[in-house]
Amino acid sequence: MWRATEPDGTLTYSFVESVKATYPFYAIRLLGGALYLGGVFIMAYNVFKTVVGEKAINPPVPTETQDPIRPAVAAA
Amino acid sequence: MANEEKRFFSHKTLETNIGLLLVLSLVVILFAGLVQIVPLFFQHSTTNAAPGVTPYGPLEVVGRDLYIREGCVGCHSQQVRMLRAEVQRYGPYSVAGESVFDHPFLWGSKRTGPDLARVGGRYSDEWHRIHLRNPRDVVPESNMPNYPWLAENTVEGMNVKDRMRALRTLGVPYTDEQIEAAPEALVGKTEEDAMVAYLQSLGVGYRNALIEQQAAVSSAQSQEN
Repeated sequence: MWRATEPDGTLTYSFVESVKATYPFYAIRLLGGALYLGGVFIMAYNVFKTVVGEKAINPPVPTETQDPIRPAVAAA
Repeated sequence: MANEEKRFFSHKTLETNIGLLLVLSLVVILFAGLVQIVPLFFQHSTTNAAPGVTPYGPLEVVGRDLYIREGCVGCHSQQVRMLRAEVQRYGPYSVAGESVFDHPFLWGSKRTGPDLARVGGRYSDEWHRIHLRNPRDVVPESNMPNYPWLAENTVEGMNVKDRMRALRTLGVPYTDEQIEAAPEALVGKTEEDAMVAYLQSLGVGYRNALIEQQAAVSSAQSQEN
């Protein structure tokens, strides 16, 4: 938009028209920034829960299974 | 190929010794860089002021420092490029000799706002005051922040003499009298006054010199005819 000219050589857009054209993209940028910031908060929660150091749950892993679809796993 | 293998400075030697390749590449790049950069320190077009370009007055020096403090350079460039649209939009393209009194230069590279290299004289002082307080009062679509505190803070008693002496050590030809008289120029002035004075000084001298040159050329031509 900065370089667009009319056939007679005059400028097509004033500077502020190019500013106006960027507003939809700033809205998209706001959305992206919100997602990023949300990710930071999730990470902070994750770090917090790790640091708090609650006793880890160690669930029992079934080694013998009656899985008819994957008999190899059952055999092992 | 056979005799190439014996030579030390062959491509094979370079390409099979990565350390040597790195060192010699660095030497070549440094040399090429110096060839480009060093002549600029001695070239008149970069070391001498362009016609009409004069050192900033005391109020403009303070305004320039405020321009730096407020981070204006983050959104406004001060260099009109050699493109037809740029020259139509902003005025004559910038030359190196216009920046000899700028320490540091404020060419910038971000144009969220328009280029300001030739903003001097384009709008009235009053327009600038309204625009600095709330840009949307004069340009409804503007996304520039408000700078209302500029109008409230005084610049009286600022260390402008130290600032001008610092600029003098960097090569700006201020006289002792100019530096001694500098604080008087700030009496009763606000930061907004300083900012407006700085903005109104941008690009004016060089543009006027160009206009005078053109007028002289055209009058000489009309006398011939």
